[in-house]
Amino acid sequence: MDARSAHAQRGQTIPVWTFGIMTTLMLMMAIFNYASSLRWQIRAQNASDSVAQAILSVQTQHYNEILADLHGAAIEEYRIRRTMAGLLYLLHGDGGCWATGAGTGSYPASSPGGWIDCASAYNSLRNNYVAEVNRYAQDVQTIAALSQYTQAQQIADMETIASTFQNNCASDGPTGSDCVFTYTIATPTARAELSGAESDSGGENNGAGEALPNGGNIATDLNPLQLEVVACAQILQPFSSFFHLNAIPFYAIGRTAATSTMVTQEWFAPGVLTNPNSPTDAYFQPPEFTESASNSQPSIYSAANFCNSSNTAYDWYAVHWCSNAYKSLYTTPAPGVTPGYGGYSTYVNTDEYSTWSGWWAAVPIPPYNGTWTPTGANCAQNVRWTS
Amino acid sequence: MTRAVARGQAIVETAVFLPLALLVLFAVIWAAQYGVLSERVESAVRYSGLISNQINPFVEYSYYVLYNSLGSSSPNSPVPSQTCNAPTTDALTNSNTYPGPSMGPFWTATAAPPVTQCVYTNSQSVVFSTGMNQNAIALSNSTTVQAQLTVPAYLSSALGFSSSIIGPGALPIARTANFMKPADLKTILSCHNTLQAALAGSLAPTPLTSAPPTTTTPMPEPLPTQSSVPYTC
Repeated sequence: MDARSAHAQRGQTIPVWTFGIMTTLMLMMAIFNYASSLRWQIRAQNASDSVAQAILSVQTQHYNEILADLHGAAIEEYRIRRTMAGLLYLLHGDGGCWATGAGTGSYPASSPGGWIDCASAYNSLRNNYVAEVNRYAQDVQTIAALSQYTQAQQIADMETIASTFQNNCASDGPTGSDCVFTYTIATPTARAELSGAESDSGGENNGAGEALPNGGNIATDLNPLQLEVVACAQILQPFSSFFHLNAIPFYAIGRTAATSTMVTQEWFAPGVLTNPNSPTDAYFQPPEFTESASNSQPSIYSAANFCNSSNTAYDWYAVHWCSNAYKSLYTTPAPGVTPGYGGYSTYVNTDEYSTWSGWWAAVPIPPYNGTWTPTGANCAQNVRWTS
Repeated sequence: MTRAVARGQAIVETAVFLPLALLVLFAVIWAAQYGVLSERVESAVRYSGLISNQINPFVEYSYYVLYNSLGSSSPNSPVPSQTCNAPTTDALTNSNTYPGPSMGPFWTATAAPPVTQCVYTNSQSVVFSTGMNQNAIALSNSTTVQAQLTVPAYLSSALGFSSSIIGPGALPIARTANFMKPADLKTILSCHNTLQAALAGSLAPTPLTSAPPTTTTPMPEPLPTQSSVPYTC
């Protein structure tokens, strides 16, 4: 072997090294691409989850507004009834007021120990009655305005919000959606059952729930809607080509279905429960002494007796939302009575006002709209991976 | 003598290419580290966003919040402001409270402790009004996770990353995402002023200080529609 042949041996390992380095570089780029695709898939799912919840606010807010206003109207209606009853008692000379110069019938001519003056009580009751009716009218007008919202309008508004996110969003801003994606919603449809929602992501099902009666006895406009949102974008690979190896763009697709449902239910006794936020530890709906011009409790009535009409010191003119001492039944049921739990027992011997209601929000459900294609999802094209 | 000339060729070539090969190998390792950590950052954002959007029945949907969100006319204190859970850093620091498999130190953030943030206030209510039949409100909370990954100086310079992307030895990996959900009762009432006024009148009436009108006010005809009601949050 001469010098020439030695020269020829130089670089024999270079192809090996080059091949090894190139392979390693390809591995690095593949890892980068794979990590990018993982990250983008999570991001797409975040986007679709968020937008689906936001869109359903159209309906959940609508229901909550109606329920809130119904409660206000019901409270006012009860107040009107009590005030009218007070006026009726007073006009008949009942309930415990005295009138100067009367002395006949039921009216005593002077105060027998703390009784109130009939004339001033009448004026106060009447003034309160007028104010109550005017407030009730405001409640009714608000309910009427809220109720004029058809299902078709709700669906149109949901689609408007989806297009808002797609065309006028604020990426990474404090209030916007992820602008990288386009958002497409399947036409929202009425849910066939009231509570057929998955309770968690693990697939635990609450059960089919109660089917809507006859599909038509419930007003269409009050039928809970379900919708499906697809967030989609075609993402360019971080390393799209390496020699003759090309990594084509991939689709990041997030898919979320959700529905409106009553997420909380509560039984509420406004005249019994104490509001923890009240500076004076008042009841949620404290008694109102509408026979008094200053809404102050007449001295003859003690606070302990304002709910029990069998008590001699009962205030027949006041508005009070009293309730009862309910007992929860967890014991063995009475013979022939099932079940023996989960109920309440009470003696109705005092005034009572209580209410039972619930509030609405959005919950996820399994996707239901079949197959989506990138074309159908109107995917944004050629988005940079660093977007 | 010719054998002596040939001897050592491979060593020389190895000496030339080995550093380059090691550099590329370290780059692969670093790329894997970066990829895993960026995925974990995205997952941490998602995890935080989901738990932040969980419903708190007491302060979001209840008669309690209804009675304590009646505005200035309410005699009660307002409902405390909503908060949201900051993204957990456990996923990035190999702590055990993150509900997932723990990871080796190699896959954790380096160079600086992760920074997390969650912003959720009522001021971040999003009102949809343009083109709508009725206004709708969504709540948005902004979740941010930021971690850092140490990049060896020789690698960052060798790979030619600009200093604007990679600082001195640390690569920030940050992700911010907004998670939205339907508005709670407090937000609805604070935005829908007409409804709040009607409720405040009925649930917390102001005692009369002077005689009201002598007659009741008749209902308008036709009744107002919701689309005519502006929202002011």
